[in-house]
Amino acid sequence: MIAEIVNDVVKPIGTGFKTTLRHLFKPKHTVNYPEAKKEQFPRTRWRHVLLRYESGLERCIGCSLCAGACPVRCIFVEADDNTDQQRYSPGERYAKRYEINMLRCIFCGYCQDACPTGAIVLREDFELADYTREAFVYTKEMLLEPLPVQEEI
Amino acid sequence: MPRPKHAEPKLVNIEINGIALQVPEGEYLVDAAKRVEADVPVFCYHKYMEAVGMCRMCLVDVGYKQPDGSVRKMPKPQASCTLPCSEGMVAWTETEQIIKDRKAVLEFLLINHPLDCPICDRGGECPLQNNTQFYGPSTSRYIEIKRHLPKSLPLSDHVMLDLERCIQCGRCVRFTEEVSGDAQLAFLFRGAQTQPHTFQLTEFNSRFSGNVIEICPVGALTSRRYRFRARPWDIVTQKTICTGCSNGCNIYLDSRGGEMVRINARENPQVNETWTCDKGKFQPNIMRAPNRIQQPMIRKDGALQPVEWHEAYALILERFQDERDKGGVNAVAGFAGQRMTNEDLYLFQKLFRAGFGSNNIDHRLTRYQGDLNKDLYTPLGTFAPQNEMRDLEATSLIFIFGSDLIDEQPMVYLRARKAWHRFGVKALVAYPVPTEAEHFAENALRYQPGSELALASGLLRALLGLLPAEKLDGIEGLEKIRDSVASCDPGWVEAQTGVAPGVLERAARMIADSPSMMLLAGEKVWNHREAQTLIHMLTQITRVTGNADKEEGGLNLMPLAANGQGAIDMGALPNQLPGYRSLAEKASLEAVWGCTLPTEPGLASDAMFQACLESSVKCLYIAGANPVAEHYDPTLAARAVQSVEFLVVQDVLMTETAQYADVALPACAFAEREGTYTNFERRAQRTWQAVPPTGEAKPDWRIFSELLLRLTQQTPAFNPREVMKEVGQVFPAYAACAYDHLKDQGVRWQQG
Ligand code: SF4
Ligand code: SF4
Ligand code: SF4
Ligand code: FES
Repeated sequence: MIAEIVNDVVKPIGTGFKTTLRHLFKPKHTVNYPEAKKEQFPRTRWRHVLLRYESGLERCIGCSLCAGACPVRCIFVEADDNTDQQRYSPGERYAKRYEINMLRCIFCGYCQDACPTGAIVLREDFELADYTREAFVYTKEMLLEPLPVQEEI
Repeated sequence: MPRPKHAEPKLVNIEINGIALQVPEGEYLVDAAKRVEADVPVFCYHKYMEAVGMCRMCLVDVGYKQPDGSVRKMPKPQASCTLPCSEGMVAWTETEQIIKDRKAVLEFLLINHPLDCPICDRGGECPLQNNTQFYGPSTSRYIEIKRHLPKSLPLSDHVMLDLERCIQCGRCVRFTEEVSGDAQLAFLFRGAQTQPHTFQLTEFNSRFSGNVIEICPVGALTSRRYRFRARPWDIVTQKTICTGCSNGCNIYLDSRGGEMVRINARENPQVNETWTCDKGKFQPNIMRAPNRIQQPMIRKDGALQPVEWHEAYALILERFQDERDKGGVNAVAGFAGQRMTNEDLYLFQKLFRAGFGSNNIDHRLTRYQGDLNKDLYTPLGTFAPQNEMRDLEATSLIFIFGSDLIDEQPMVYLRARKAWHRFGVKALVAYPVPTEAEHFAENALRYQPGSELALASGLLRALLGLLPAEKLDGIEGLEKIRDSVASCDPGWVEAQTGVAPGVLERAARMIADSPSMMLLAGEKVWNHREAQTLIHMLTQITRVTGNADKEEGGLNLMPLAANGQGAIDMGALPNQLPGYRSLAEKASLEAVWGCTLPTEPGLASDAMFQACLESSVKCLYIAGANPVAEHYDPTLAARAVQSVEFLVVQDVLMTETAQYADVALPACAFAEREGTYTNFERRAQRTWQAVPPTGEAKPDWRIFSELLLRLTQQTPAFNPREVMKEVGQVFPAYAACAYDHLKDQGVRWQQG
């Protein structure tokens, strides 16, 4: 009877705790999210960013190729003329409105592939949760990377 | 030589890629290749312009069958766009040599091409892109710096030129020389600097400038209106027709997210070939006009207040029935607009005839408001234009009478000019001031404004003197005609019209010498003081010259607005039922409608407005018209709508007329609904819905049908297709125009 209890109950528990004990001294794979975050792979595809040139001009020329490539049609681009007074990007055309519906986006990265100027890229920011549906339509202002800091002369 | 209308083309035997086929002699090889689905890429060739062989994209290998059965090949590839098919021709479109040549041509074109496709409005629908993708080299061997020229150079308010993208195909230049005839564009400079531009680098000033945007095979000529608005994959394309004038050009209406972004021509060889006029192509976006009527409104305390549809219906029916019961059927009246479709017009007159029992309906904004049933327009037996568009190419003389053709009927102008340019058809113009059509007319009669009748009588008299006796034989009532114009000798005509006897004589001789003549009569006839007599006179000219029963000649009184013809066909007239029936022939209509109809003729528009002033007409329903701005006597119309007791206006926009309305109803604009229009050659053509309706707007036919339902308790029509079916019952000629028959190109209704 006692031998049975030792064999069927105590021993397995002991084996289990042994494994636990062994892992206590091994390197850990989990992190203490959200206080700590894991480093993302360099080519990970999460939230989009619209890049700028070093001069501060937008790379996006409003050509809509990303919208055409998008398999779920979640990108909307409205273009306009650059003028010499109001210049957003090099050349004649810039994106006046640029919107991505993040609820629809499947993060396939086709837009990034299609972009002739390397303007739209998918980067490592994966924390996209929000409370309302409207908040998931990312506008150009949200997507555009901040202006490079001008150095004081 | 005019192009014979029913010529049987001679067929020749040719062979393309090993497939034997028969094609009409003289057809260009590039078109013949399409018959066997052999793809021959082109840049400069355009079906509706003369081939010039400028770009060499269409090279094919060609040989000829020899009597002994062998094939003798030409040593070098040939441009298939300039090679007419002849007996025994053998062609290959996919030989190794040809594939290499195409690559070379494209590489050459791309040496200096900027390839800024991402920002080019042509990108995605660009023949250069397509041809390069299918036939071109995948990379270029040229690494030198490309030529730089001005980009985004405005040529006019409508057209933008990008010189770097031009491949010098010459389509635009040829268009202005051959088709529009204004010869505005030309190639300037030489070599790498060659560029299409206006001669003096001035503004590109043409009424057909929009077409060059469409025919340019690259993004060199683009639309300023459409510039950067959308890419081809952003838009939804809907076929429909333009409602700018009674030509009814076939168009594609492109929209993005429910907003119209551009209009392109849709090919219809019978109507607009593949052209549009700038008035239509660049028409303002009526769907988004700021002054649209958004919801039904009723005037309360002096201002129009939004209400529900049923309230508006109830008020209209209450007032109309009330006044009709008090003052008789003449207390109510309806004015129909010519922008409405056939279905709308048909139901509108049905609403008045079957619903209110009144014949007080009219659609005419012109001075001519005579009885259309009188035998004044006999050639066809009905008051409808005799000819179709392509008859212009088959006739020997085009007589443009009292019409500024380029303004009133731009497509007729283009076709008439083509007839002259391609087929040597002569033209004669009679108009008070010089018009564009004079540049190809052999003779022009410039008369004193208002003296059209004197001119026509003088011409008739001169013709009777010139025409050979055997031609005049058998013309009914010839003596009477002779007597009626006996006093109109050239001296009298000169005094009346200012046309010198020599000029008149020459014009008359032109007519007398022509085997056939197409008479195109326009606005000056509709608005003449004695229009009825004038039309009678023109009919007599048509008859004595033997054109009354010709296919390639005849009298054409061209309606001035989109559906002017449909309004007559549908019986939006005080004394005529649908299908040119007089009021006495109402029995068949009563059988279909299941009610009794009034016999007493109603009031024509002038009389109707007068009656409003005298307040014998108490309720006026104006649908789709703006008489205050468009009636030939705007003051009369304005006073009438101000003084009438109860005014209902149903329209797309808050027009000058709608300002005075007691009830304003929102109607759908042409692209927000479907229907049919009948163009000036009696061709019924369909429109399709391209964008969603604005606000609470409803299609006109639905409004009438809902009113009718409340009045007669009969099953209403649920869609325009059903309305058209009913039209076919009461007017058998329209049975051929049922929706199932109309297809993309429309059907011309025939009497009898
Ligand atoms: S992000 Fe790139 S592909 Fe998308 S519109 Fe801008 S330039 Fe074009
Ligand atoms: S014309 Fe055609 S090939 Fe040239 S830039 Fe425009 S889209 Fe590209
Ligand atoms: S502008 Fe266009 S149509 Fe005109 S020559 Fe150049 S490529 Fe041809
Ligand atoms: S299409 Fe034949 S040469 Fe241009």
